[in-house]
Amino acid sequence: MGAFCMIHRRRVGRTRHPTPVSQRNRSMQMAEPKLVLPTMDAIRTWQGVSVPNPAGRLALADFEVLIAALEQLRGDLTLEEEPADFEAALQACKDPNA
Amino acid sequence: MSPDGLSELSMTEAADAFARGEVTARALVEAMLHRLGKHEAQVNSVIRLDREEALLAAHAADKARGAGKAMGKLAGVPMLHKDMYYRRDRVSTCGSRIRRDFVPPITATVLQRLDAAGAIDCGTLNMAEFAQNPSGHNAHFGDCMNPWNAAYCTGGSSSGSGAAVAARFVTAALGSDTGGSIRLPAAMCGVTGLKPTQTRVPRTGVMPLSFSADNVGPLCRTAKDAARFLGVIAGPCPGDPTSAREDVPDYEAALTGDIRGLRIAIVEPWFFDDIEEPVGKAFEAAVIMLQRLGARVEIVNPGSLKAIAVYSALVSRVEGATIHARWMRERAGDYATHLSARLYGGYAIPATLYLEALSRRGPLLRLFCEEAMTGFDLVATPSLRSRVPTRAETDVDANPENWDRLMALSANTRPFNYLGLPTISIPAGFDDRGLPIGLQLAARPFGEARLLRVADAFQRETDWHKRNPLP
Repeated sequence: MGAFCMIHRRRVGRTRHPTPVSQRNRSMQMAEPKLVLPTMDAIRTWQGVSVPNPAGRLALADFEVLIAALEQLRGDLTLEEEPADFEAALQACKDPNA
Repeated sequence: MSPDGLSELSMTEAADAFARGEVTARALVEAMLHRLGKHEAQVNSVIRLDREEALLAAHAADKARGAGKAMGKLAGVPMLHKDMYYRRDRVSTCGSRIRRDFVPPITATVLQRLDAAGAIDCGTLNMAEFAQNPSGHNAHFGDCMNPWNAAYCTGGSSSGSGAAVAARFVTAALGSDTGGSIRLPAAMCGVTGLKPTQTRVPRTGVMPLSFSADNVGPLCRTAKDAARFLGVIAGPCPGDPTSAREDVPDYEAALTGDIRGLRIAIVEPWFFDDIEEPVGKAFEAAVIMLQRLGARVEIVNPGSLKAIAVYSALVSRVEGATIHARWMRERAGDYATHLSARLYGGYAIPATLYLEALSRRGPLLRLFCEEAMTGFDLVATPSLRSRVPTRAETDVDANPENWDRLMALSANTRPFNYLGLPTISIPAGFDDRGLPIGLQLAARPFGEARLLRVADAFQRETDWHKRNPLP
């Protein structure tokens, strides 16, 4: 990003991101996370859906990262009391020339 | 003009030439058929071609113009669209085995509006199964192949739309975008793709993937094409109560070529994590071009992106799984491996977290706009962090270990679906393997005119969008 040296940097806040999925070195030989089997049971019980293939198990294993990321968010934000706020936010934030 | 010469016209050039009487609709349709005959075997972009109907419609358009009748803004222009826009009594496969024979009872509002504008609907295009992968793989109709190099992904899910426009089969095509499905094929095939503001374009008669994040928009050659196309399809529709009541501006009138004084934010670090060098260099060159055109550029680091990135991974996953629950119970084997795996994961996400993601969407949009767009008109990012991957290295059906690489493709596009912001991908260079690189620009809600003005100004000074992969 050398050319950006000329560009003024404005820090609004510091962000620490969870390691992107693409950076992780995963192999079929690695141990399957503990969450996979109980999650498969829960899906079967609640939804009546069975794991369709090995890739489906990998999709569940992926949630370790997501769960960790969600844990980091806890306490960051307060829950909004008005869940239909999105359309209002679109209006509130809209382009001034729109 | 020869068929190959006609195929070099952009959508607006073709429509304007027809309006001036310089070209017939029949010649435009025949040029499309000529290009398809010459190159479709190496692209595999079409699911259904209504050849005779297209020629008949072209004849009717030529006759109407000859009789001096008022013609629409897209009159005489042949188009093909992603096979998920319902037309009454015409099969809409949605790229799937499950819907191979599905005949919808209604016609999509956007198709009705394109019909009214005089566009000639010539058939349907290949796509990711149920619009649910970012690479363009399709196990049922065959992968759509990148016209620049068949070994590489087209991007998805609007794979056929990106490839058919790049290959000069058509000048414009409808795509849909829930996590990047317009912008990714636009970036990977080297065309222009616009995802409008959430609610800007009605979704009546469009296959649903995610109630909250689905968007309808065009893939076309130029920003000017996108401006005219959006002007035709945008606006409220009684059939879609979520469609915005905002007035539809004259987007083409906004294309002044002047972006002096415009302020652009580059959002770090999320959009640059793991960025590959050719992509980073092309992005820098694009930013320098925007500065030369008079834009002011600054780097910002909004703290809200952490939550946006996490929540954007939840919403469409759950909603997609919900829509497909019955088929996942009864016909899971009829899905491609990667899709049933992806849908399956959606059932594991607790409803409380899904609702948390939805309830924080508005507050996070406000926060992001405050952090990243106060004092700025636009945000700029690379459309993808990596170069265009090969079809083999993102093929989960062949090797489940490709899962991470597949899912990473939409990292830079997905957050804007969660935020609902209008976003465009425009060609901004080529990598060392000769594949296109995309520049992504995002504006405030309903800021499409501003977005298109910048994209158009950029395209007036560059020729990336004019390169033809199959001359």
